[in-house]
Amino acid sequence: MSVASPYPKAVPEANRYIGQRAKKLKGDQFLTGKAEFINDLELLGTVHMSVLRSTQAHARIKKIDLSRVRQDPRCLLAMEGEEAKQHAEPIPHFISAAVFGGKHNDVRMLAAGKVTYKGQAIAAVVANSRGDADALLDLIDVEYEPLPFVLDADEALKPGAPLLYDGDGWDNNIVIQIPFVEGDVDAALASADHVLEDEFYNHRYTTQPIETRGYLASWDPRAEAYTFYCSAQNPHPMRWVMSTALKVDESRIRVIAGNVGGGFGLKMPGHPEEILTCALSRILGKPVKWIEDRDEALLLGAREHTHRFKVGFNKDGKIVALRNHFVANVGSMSACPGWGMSFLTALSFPTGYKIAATDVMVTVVATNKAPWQAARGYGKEGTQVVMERIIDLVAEASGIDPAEVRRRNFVCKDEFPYKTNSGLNIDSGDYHAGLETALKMLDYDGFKAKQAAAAAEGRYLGFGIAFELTPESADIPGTIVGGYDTSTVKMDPSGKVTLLTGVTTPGSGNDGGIAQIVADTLGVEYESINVIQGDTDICPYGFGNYSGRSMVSGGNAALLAARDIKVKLGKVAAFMLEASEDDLVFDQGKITVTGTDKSVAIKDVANAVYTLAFATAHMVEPPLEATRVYKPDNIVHFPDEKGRIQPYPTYSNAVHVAIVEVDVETGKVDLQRFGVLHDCGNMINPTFVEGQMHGAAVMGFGAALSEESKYDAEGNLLSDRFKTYMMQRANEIPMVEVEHQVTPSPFTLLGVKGAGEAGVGGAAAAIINAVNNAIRPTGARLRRTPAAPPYVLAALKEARQ
Amino acid sequence: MIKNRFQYLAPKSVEEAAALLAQSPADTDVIGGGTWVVVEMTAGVRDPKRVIDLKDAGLRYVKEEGGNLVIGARATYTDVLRSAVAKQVPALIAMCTGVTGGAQLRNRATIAGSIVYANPSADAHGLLVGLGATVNLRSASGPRQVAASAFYKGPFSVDVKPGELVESISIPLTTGIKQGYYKFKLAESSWPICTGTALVAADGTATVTIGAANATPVTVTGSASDLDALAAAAEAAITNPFSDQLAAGDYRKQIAGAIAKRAVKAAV
Repeated sequence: MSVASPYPKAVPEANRYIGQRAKKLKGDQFLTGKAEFINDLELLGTVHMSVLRSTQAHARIKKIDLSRVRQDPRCLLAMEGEEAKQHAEPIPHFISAAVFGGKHNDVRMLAAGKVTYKGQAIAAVVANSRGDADALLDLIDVEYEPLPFVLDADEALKPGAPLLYDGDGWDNNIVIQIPFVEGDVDAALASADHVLEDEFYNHRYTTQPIETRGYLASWDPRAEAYTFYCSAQNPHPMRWVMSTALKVDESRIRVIAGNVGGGFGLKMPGHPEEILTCALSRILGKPVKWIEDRDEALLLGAREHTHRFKVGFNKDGKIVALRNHFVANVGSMSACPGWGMSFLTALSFPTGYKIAATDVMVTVVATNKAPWQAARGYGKEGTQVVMERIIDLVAEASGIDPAEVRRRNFVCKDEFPYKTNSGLNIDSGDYHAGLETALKMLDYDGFKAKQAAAAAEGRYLGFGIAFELTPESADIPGTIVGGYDTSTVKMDPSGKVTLLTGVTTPGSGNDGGIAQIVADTLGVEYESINVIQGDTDICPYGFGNYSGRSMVSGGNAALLAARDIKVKLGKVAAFMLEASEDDLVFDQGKITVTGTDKSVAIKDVANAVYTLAFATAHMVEPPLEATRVYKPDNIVHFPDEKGRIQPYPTYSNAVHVAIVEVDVETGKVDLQRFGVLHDCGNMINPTFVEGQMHGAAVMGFGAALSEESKYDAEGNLLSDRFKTYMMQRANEIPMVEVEHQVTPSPFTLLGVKGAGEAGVGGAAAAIINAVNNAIRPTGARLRRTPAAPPYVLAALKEARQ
Repeated sequence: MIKNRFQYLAPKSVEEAAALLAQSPADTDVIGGGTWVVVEMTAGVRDPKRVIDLKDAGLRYVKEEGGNLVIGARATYTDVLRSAVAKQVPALIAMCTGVTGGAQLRNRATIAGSIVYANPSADAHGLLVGLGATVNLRSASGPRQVAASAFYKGPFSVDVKPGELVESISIPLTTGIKQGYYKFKLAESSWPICTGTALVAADGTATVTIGAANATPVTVTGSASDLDALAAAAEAAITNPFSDQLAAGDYRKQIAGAIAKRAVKAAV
């Protein structure tokens, strides 16, 4: 489909790149296997690191004996946590709980004194090959004094529970409690026609890029500087983390993130190995490489919270009160931004529904599981699942159709911008129209008859609806999570364009999207633009990739920078064409005087800027280079009268619909159809948006059906490979049917909203609602994710008893 | 990455393989496709000093011999699927088709490797027991035959003595008996959680072997026209349910009856 371009004027529709399905830049290199990734890179003299990990869930480290490993001729260097303290400071928390009034704990590149989870890094060895380094780990002798451990968040909250951390106010395992209260919830519950009370468990699952993390650190003793090659999402913020831990100026650290084979949050900074490779490289005087193994990547989790809620609603299905106090099990505290997901889960209630009185509070609890790391959805996916369950429970209890309950509670399109109870200021949307489109996609009206026909054959079909609100492009004050970004546009004397931006791509294609904006602005060919990202010595300062921010921040910044170049070109072209600047049209490599056939090639104008600086181009300042920042509107960090801040500029939204069949003999769920109506405002490239939605939706399928980070009672992670951490495969998923609705954001230059995170929570919520709809005749109710066969069968069995 | 050095051997015959194995059976692993041993070596949980690769040992065949379908130890799932003679065993074809690890796995992995590994959560065990197969072993001192029903001792444990390797598997070719195979998995990535192999004779007698649910496969007999009784018998036969990272034994036991029924339905 074509989307009306928001770009102001003067480019013929047919030539616009914005809104068109331009091909991914350098897509051929990825398709043909020519693209290189971090593990393809080898510097002269590169040596390899392997990390020894704790075998205890909670223990004091009595002794780590490195004498045997150091005697082995293959061992170039071995280090344990106590010695490591001399080489690096604690890793700064990427999003510190202490900034928000919570507790602080020191995280070091190697644990010293004590471990709090199985898999925690306690020692490292370096050898000439990774195989040798792995083998050398067997020669390290570790003596532990096991301590009592706790894996369950409710258990961890009980008096007398094992405490993970000493000092700094850690007299219990609560990292922080964050309340969001608006209105008199007790009074609203008391006066509501009905009150329902229930609970829901969001399980622990993670995110797995096809390429795991990888680092290659090289210390140059003459320059006294690091070059750090990495598969990572946020080169500039990572440099700050490294500088703080390594006590080396940021100006002496060059971070280069090349092609990234998926990120999804896993590759945000704070991981111990980032610091370890650097510190060991400096000691050895050699480049040190480390590539994460899959079981290491699977160790880091995300999400796990139990919601206990009360909902007050009237006979007409209108919800008047919500109280949801939930407990998030964030595992051990790392320096990575994982725990902050639970903050966002709380902040995002009650999504796009108008509920007068709400009392939402998250209690963030540390346990002896591995830490969380950021994962796509960043907590909002948990909100969607619980909120959409609540809507369906209200529908069930009131006897009103679930679609109708949504209609009656949605924020209306004429109420935007709409301030939510937690202080979020939703930019724009038309949720009612989106719902109708989504329902039509899967023939909601015709479904009841199909469901009844199936029931007559003893089959259980279900339809699930889920609305999804996705706050995007965050700026979190006091942290290095920025909502603005920077782009540089350069046109050289031959008229070719180089685009540098602080936004990075995890493989998604935002380089192409930003190039489309620049190509339209300057009237040049999209494919010819050279986009450079990920190098802190070359690219302007920026925050990289997270929170659906690429077009909102980097794209709009590139628009501003390209406009600056365009102004200069226009002045020179006007002189050359003896015309007014206002009459010029930039298109297809030419600048034409509108309504005439008078034109000049853009490359000739560019050449004049450089070579005729005192003649034809006397009125402009060379070179043709511009660096601009885009700070989106709508972010408000000065607290309002209720102390609330507004960290998101844009709020994309979606309505997801799913049809499932549940096999009640085994509990297996067959996802038969899935559709989503998505609204992220103006789209620069619908193909890229759809690509993001396809991937996010399938992650949501995994979340709803099969992916689970599972622990045994001893704190061992059972799901440490792809046979035991079951991601969805192509042959078990239906087509992801996507339709678009466009309500531009009034708060961004191009009318864009974030895209990329939406889909995980909405898809999961639609499936969980569909499963519950399917099994409703049995009286069973699934109060947890995932809807994996054993859990569904257990719910069915419980209903039978 | 494989962390320790090892000796790689590729004997030219099964006799040579058996002789090499006899030299030092305790620290030698035999590989067919390598999709179990090599993966475990890479993960660092298996550390053989020697690896005998059967790729050149002349064991890549699927043939008819003495009223049996004989599958060589190095024959892959794809080899079985492409074999004309194997089509006489429809349950075997159904099983191989359902190995969904992808073309790469089907082109490399072998049934012989799977049965020696003896992870109960697998396709082959229940199928071979159900079809009355025989495992043909080979050692330096000669061949030995074991019925599939006696081959499995428990999870990850089979009747292969030190110095023995699997040379081939024989499946009797029958007529007049309908076959059905049904596999249940949690998701496409999952190992089999419960499998059913059904033989239905002309008189309606149904023999169902349940794989993956119990420590070793279990077989029940009943009437194909009384599926509920057959299902109850199948569930009752799961006396030592198998649990792993994916599914608890009690879950497998709960669904065993339904899987038994589906296997019979696949046969008739």
